[in-house]
Amino acid sequence: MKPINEIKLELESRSVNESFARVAVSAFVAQMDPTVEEISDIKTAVSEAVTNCIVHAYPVSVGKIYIWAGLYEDGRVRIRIKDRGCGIIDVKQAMEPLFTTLGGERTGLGFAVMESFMDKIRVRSKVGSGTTVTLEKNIKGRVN
Amino acid sequence: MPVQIISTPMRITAFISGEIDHHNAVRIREAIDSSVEKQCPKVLRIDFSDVSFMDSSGVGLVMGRYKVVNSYGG
Repeated sequence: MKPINEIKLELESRSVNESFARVAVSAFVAQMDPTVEEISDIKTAVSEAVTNCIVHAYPVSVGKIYIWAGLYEDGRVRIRIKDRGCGIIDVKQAMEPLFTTLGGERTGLGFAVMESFMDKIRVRSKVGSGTTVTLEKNIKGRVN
Repeated sequence: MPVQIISTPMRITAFISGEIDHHNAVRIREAIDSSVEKQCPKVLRIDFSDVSFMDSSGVGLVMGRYKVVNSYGG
């Protein structure tokens, strides 16, 4: 199915861009008339995915983050967040709650948050080539 | 500043405002840790009343501060 509207964004993997990314995507989704809770879920999931690109995909350099979002006639929103960073060795393990390759203040909750706030998540990764996270949510919107 | 800190001899209260993400968490963490290091309080209270957004970096912030306060005997 083709989206009825779509956007593309290309950002540098600088942490200051995390808020821009989540606000830009949620502003685009706003035309579907979502509830505050739905917008908040999308903002949080996008923030997690973009943070992963900054922290994990490009740990020592600044790379590009490619965001695509599409809105569908049946009320679905699909968001794709892609990097050309280092990739994930074991996607299944990376998606386990509390698993993290970094110590410090990283909780290992990023994918768990994306999974619980969105309806669908798909992660494709190749070591050395990058990772693509696709998130999907059905926007029910406000019931008048 | 996204965090305001009020100290009493036994307790530090950090009032966080705005959004907590991986970018902002650094400044909040540094501000709280520097007060904790100076004062070694028994209790650290973190007030999220004015927080409008938080992702898993906020959870990391809380867990990390628990460890820091604990390491200073709190």
